[in-house]
Amino acid sequence: MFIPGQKQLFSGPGEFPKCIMLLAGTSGSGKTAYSMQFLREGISAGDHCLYINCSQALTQERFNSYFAKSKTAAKAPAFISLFAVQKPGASQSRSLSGLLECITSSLQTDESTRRVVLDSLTDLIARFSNEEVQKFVAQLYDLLKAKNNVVALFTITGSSSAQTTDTLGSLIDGIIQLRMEDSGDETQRSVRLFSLKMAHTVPKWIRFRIKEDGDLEFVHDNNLSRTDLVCKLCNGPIIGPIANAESESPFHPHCLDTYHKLGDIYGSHILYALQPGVVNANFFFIDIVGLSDPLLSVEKQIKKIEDLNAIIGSCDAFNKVPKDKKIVLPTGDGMAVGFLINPELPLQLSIQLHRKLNAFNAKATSDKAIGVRIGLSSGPVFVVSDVNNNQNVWGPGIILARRIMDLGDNRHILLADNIAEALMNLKDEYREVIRPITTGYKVKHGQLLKLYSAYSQDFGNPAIPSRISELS
Amino acid sequence: MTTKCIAFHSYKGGTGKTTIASNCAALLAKRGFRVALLDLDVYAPSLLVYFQKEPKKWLNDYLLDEAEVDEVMTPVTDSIQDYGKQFDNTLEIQGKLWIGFCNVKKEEVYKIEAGASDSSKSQLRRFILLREYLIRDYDLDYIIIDTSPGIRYWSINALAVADTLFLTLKMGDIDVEGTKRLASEIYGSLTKYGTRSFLLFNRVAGYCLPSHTVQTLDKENASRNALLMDSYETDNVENMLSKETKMDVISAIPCYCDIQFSRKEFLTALRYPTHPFTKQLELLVNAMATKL
Repeated sequence: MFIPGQKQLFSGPGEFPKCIMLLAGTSGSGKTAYSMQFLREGISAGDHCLYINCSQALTQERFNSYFAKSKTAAKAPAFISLFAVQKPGASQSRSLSGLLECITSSLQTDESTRRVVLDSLTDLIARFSNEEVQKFVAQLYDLLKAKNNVVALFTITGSSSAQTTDTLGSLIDGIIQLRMEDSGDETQRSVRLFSLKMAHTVPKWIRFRIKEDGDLEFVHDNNLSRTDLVCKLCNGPIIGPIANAESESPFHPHCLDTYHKLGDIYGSHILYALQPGVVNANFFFIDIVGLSDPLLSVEKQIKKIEDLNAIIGSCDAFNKVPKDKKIVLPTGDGMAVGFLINPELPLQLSIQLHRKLNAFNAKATSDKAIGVRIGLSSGPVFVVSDVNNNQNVWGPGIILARRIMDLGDNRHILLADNIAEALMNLKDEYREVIRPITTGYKVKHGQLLKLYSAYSQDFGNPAIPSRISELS
Repeated sequence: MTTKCIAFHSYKGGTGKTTIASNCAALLAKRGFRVALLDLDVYAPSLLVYFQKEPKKWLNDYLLDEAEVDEVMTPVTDSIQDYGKQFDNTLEIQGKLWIGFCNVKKEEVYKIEAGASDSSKSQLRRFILLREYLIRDYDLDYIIIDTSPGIRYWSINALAVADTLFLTLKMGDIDVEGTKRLASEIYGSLTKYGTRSFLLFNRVAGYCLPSHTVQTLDKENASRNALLMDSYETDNVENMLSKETKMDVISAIPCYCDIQFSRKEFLTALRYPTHPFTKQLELLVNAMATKL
């Protein structure tokens, strides 16, 4: 084994090569612990090791303590410090070349050196220019490569996406990434082989922990295996290269392209709709008009809500739809109902409700009569769990229905173009009651809505909604 | 080699997509490649005519989640070898060919939905997954997709899954204008995410050769230059369209009356291995190897 966790990190064909790698990670991600493990494993295997220290905080005495518990009689790593070669009065670049000379000398003295750690490039970047550090890394790389059988780690603080890390990584053989996540109860560290020149790699995060004695323990957690990942588009297992691996939405590389192409042609709604956990629903959004009138007692407000709920519950278009085919969300002064089947149901429910309300209001006194406005739309929504672990939905489908409803006045049944046009294409009877009222109405975020209104003698409101007529 | 996924598409029907796709698939298999040919012309499937082999299950079944990939991918290597040997007893199909046939029954066509229903989304997801399974389990060199003409739900899906498009067209105004429309309305969305698209002219007029000449052409004379006479008009249309659509021309296949007006469809590439149409297809297959 050349690097700690190699068995889990490297699954490519052939042997893991002897290489010079950048070890990149944020502060606290375990770079030093990983480097020390790398050296300890080398010592255990009888390798001669060299540690190049660029940090003023680490003394040789402290460094040696990392290896005091070594059970083997093998030689402790040689220790070279930037500060030992930095002569007072010498220019900084002189000391960087002095460091290189010192390393060259050490490698000549001990030709059996097999493992090298440089900790860290971040310290060098703080003291020297980028160009000087890049030149130093390139020279050190050549020096170590000339020995043929050296494996080395150069540590650096930061992510692999940072430009400096990226540039330095390209000068050597590849990048090993470390990361640290705070899961609340504990800190979790992971490592992955991000890139390796001339070798096929499938980057996969392998979790590890730093034991009390400083040794690393790699966690064999099947859930972390990237081979268990499922493509966000086709739902198939991802075996091999992963696209979007950094995010929570991994894809087969080709599927990511397909995903973009489909989105470009069909519009972004297809991207929502194709994601697992997303359902297409036909929404009925209703609220009671004037419920917050201060002249109305809370008791009467509650009674109105209860009456409306009871009337909705008595409509066939609502109560004959199985529970698993509808999503009901109380909104306080109304409700949203998402039908997972037949797009006719929201309109049928609206019509049935209006007819029942006509009968109800005919017998009610003015303070008990219920006025409602309704918005209908279709579209994808995510099924999510709310704080009470109840099923809830969120997404373009329900948001649009709400915006449509907000434009209406009492008795309006307003429809978004997607559901209106689908219904008019479906049956002639809908063409007779659904009428366009505006070709382009801007709502929140500049979204342009084409609005329709459904009305006849005993349902709906033929007037143009006041918000729209005010604008025109 | 990396699997190449090529969709044959056209603005209008009758441009020869299926004929070219079927024959190219057979020629590629003959040359030793592992090929899958998919019938995504779901509204008017016709691959069955060329291969005369009844599948155990149809692509429709797979899309509806009623069959697995290996149940719908029908191996036809042996049958095309037997067919070809009738006309060339030295024929050896070096590679492999599987076909995913689409069901022609109208009730099955209706089930393949176009639109926004959850079922249609599930079918689309299954289709995208099919490509992944074919690459993973069949170790393919080529996936060739025969699509429905025009801007239709399943042809767009097939185009989105492919990484190369061959837009097949004849020289007529309708095809040329339709091709421009496809290029501007659909292909741009695909090429911007890496799809490569080519124009494939078929049935190019003005090159009809006497049938006795056709039958006796040898390999050397069967190159495009030998078969195509210079035609100012044809070259002009090719160049104009190529420039306007920003698509290279992958091939221009002349119109051969015996193919065009044949009463029965068959795999010309195997039945008439020295036919100039076959030679044109071989040039196309060469171009597929070098340009893609």
